Amino acid sequence: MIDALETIVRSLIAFFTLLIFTRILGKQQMSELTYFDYIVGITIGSIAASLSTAPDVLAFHEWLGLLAWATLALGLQLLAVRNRWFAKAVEGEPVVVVHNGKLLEKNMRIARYPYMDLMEQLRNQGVFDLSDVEFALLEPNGKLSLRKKAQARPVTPQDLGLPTPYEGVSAELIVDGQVLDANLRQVGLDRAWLSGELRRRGIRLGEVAYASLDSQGRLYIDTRDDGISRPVDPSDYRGPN
Amino acid sequence: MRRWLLYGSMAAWLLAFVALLNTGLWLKRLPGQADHFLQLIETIEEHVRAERWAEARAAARALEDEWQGAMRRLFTGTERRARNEVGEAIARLQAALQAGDPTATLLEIATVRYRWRELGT
Repeated sequence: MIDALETIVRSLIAFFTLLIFTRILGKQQMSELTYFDYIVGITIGSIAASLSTAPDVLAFHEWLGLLAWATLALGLQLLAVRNRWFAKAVEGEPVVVVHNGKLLEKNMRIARYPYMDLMEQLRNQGVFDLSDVEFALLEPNGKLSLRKKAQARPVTPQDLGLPTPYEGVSAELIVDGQVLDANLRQVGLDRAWLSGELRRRGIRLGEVAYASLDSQGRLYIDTRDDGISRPVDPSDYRGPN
Repeated sequence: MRRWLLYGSMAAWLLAFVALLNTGLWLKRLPGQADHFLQLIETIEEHVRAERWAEARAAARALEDEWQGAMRRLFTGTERRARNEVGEAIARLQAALQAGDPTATLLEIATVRYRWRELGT
């Protein structure tokens, strides 16, 4: 009984310690992690697993290991933000692998980046002809950033000299029937205005699944009942999904 | 303000975990009380040296009960292997007392004392 309780308590401690450490370590996306970040993440997870299920090792020592790895990772992050030289030394820097449609073999060799991977990443970005590429850079996280030649790029309003209005970001006003007062205040409006708009459209607050206001002042409202009797179902599979 | 509250609560949780994981060090004896476990070992040793075997065996049973209670409050701050070693040492001590062998008993007493001191460190 005590052994089972011990596993539960150790697991709870490992779980919440990981939660706190990952919250402190920041908002980096998985796709933005360098290989080293990835390995550090795996090591921290592995120590937490050991803290949870290796009762023959003193839990506090495991926890200290977790603390040490998280502190080192945080220290590296802070140093990398403050010191550009250090950031380059630790995280590496982008390598140009294609310049004006030409492969830079020497750079590819230095980065140990195979042709097959380059071609695959180019195809993933809709490029099937190397001569369409102006620049391609291999980022420290292993992703390929590329700039197509002007002839291969889609036409933009800028190319046509067309003026475009400022679009900004829409403010969420209602999510799942709940009014987000802070967002309402941020756009200089209040509940009375929102109630008036809903009344004008004949919608009750409880019926709203989502509502937002764009920078042009247009209110978008999605109700729970969309009035679609038969939604399009692309599946031909009748089992559980 | 809310940010500091968040970091403060995180720090408080981490400190609580540190305290919980170190119960092996500071809950061996309950606050304000003597170390009953060590006291019982001393008592057993005195009885053995005076060859009062019945009293020594009774004290060993009390030591076993004390250990069962201690295990319940120390399990988060000690290794399972170390706890098993204490339990095993107590069983060996009881066996030596049953045999009435003073040399073996004193050896086992020393082992139990050592295991208890090492527990949670």
